[in-house]
Amino acid sequence: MVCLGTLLLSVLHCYADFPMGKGRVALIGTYNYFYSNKYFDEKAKLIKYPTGDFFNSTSYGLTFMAGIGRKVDLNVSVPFVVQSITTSGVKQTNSGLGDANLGLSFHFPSESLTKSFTIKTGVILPLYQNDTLKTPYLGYASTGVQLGAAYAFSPFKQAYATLEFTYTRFLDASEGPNQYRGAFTLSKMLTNYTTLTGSFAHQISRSANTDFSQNISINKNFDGGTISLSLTQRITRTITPSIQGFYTLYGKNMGLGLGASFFVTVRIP
Amino acid sequence: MAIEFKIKKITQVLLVLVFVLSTTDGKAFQRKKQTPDVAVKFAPNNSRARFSAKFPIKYKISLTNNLKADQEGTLVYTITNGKGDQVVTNSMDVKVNAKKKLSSSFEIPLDIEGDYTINATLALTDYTENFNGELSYKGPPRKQKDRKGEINPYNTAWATDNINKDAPSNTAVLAPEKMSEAPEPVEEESEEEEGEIITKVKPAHADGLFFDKESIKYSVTITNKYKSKQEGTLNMIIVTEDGKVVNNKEVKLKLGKRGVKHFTMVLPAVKTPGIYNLRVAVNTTTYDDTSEHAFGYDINKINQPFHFPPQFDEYWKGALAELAATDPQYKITKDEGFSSRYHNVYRVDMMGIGNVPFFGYLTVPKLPGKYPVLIGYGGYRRDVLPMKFGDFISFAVNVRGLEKASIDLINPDKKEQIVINIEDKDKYVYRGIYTDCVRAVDFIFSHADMGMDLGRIVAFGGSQGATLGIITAALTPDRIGSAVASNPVFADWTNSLTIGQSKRELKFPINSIDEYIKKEKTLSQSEAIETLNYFDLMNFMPRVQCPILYAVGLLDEFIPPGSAIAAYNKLNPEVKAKSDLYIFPNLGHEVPTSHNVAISTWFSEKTLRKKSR
Repeated sequence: MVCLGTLLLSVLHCYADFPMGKGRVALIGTYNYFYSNKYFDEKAKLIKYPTGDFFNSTSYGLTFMAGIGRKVDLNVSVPFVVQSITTSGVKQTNSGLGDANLGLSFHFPSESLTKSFTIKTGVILPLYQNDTLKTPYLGYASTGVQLGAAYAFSPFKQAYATLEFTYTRFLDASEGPNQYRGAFTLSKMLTNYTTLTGSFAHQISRSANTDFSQNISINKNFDGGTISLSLTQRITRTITPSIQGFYTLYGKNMGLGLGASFFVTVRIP
Repeated sequence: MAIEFKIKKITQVLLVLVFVLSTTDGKAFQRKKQTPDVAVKFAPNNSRARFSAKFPIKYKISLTNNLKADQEGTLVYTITNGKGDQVVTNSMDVKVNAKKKLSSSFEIPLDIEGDYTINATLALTDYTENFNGELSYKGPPRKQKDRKGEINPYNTAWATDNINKDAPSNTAVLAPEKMSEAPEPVEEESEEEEGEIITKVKPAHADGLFFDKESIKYSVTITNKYKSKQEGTLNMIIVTEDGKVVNNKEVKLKLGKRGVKHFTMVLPAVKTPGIYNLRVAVNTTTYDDTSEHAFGYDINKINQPFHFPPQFDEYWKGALAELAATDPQYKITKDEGFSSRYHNVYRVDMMGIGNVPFFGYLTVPKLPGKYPVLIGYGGYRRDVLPMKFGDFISFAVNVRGLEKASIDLINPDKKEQIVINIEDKDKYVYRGIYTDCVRAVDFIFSHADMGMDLGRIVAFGGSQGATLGIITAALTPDRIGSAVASNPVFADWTNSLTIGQSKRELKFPINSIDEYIKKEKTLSQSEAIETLNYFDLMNFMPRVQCPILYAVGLLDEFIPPGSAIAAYNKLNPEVKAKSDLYIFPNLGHEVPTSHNVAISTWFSEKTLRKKSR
């Protein structure tokens, strides 16, 4: 008895930084919660805000991904952000559409599709304007461009890893910032349907503006490292929900964040 | 040409010859010349007679006839393992005319780890000699990538298994790699030097295809592994599929000791669209070898005439009506042995026309959802196992003739399947096999509740399975969304028989049909073709309405590659525009592992859109 060919279908799953496949589409709905009541000062010392003071942010996002070629993917994401600062018992809240991201990924997979090198380009488009009457600000309110490279591979059985570097430049203000981010992600398939993913990222943001705000989304000059852990469970052929937790390990001029995300990926068809 | 070749019986890939074996320490055989009447030199290509997957068991041989009389006879060799079992036995007819020299090399089809002895007897008209020696094979069996030009696993039934306890006997002929005048007798003693010449040729285009009066260009790399200079020639000969020499080009070679030479050979363009074989013969001071290659020229213009039999369409309408009138008697049984944590596997028993039973393995992912369906068909007389995919339901179809229940019904006389009832088109076995494939599709469409997405169905297979998939698509054009066909066979029978019979060795299926006609005397060849035309893949191609991923190896021995491509060219232009043709110039009846990625991509992309019905 002979099996009809050994086929590498598994590699066509929507792994990060592997090509999606021409014509394939995925929708990802996300929910993020972020909370911060401490920060790292410019000397990396952890300082707690006065009791009762904190910053939190909730965002809802929709990401559309499409394989527009066998090696080119398009992605568009639009978030809706609600964030607030509570200081001395006074809570300020602002909400609205956040920074949209429009990007193209160019993949260069190995012949066996077990490794892939990716060049990413993207544009950040703020869907809001900062108004002194509406605080806390939702972000820099600046157009930005992104350039990144990622290498995805399988370090051992039923696992894949990604090493990624991204450069982001915000253009509307002379003070930028310029941001550099490096990340390493390791995913292990616990079963055919369940994947555990751990990630470490270090980010450097440089700007002439070295001010620190409790509204961490507008800080421009900081360093920091975060870790995250996520669990992904495929529940039908097309629907895959995930939960994720993240934490800021260290930093300078940066808020210590603690948060959680929930997202659902829907493959079409 | 002073040498004649006789073929007694062909059962295998090229084997060979005449030899004399090395001494027991495994060193190359070193024979002292004292003006012998017949001189034989023999040595393993690997100087210590140690072989592996990378270095298959290969010997070289030269035979010099200094007599005034032709020498004719047989070489028989036997390979024995450490337990004393004879694992390979082969024989070959040999004839060397008077005052001629013949050189060749040959490969022994053995890749099981172990130490072996080789015993050979060369019996010529006036010369007999026995040779004994030792050899060893280390490491794992050879992988597909090491077996260029050989068959792939799903077609192994087409080749005689030469490595078994029954030690089947085969007969081949001595390969004519070099023929020349016998040299003047050497009075002094001489020793045969160890080494070899490695010749690599690559077509200018990786797919081996040339177009529009383009010159035939090959890059050549020749490596001299000898410790001495080598002089001689490299000859490239272009030959048509039926063995006619088109043109050739010879260059002189001068290789320093352990030297490497790179150059480009440019041969004149061929004029007629087709597939051509390229023989590359290297003859140097102490080494002679010939390798076979192939290329295609203007393959998009390969155009063989149709040979439609009378009332072809009516014949198949009748067959499908007979199928529709046959109660399918579906019986679905969960196979706990094949089922797994992620898949349920069911054995599906069905009835085909003539109430002949057959079955398939339906594999359904446990995760909820509507899944595209891949229907897989097996090679000639090959069972197929359940196929487990994460994103697809699969149906592995085992047509009639594979299980005892159906064999007893359709082949009580134990004939070769290809000739069962070939005398009568209405009883020919492939009428049942083709309609079994359609019945499998009927099953899918009547069991959508098991998770099948009926708008996304792909038929696929290799070898005969490729043919079955395409013909199923032709017979059910409103149901199959796309097809994947690797190394299809049974195409353009008229041309295939002509080309097949022009070969020195007849290969399956030509040999089976030929033998049957000669032995049974119940029909002529033209009558056989008349039946086969009803089942010719080429005649179905214009009826295919879905795109096909089609792959052909240009060294395929089971179908002339030109016939396979001629069939592809019969697709409707709109269908052809959506289809993909992959050509593998260095492969025989197989596709490379890397092609699986193309197949996977095809599955993924072609099941994105529902087929409108």
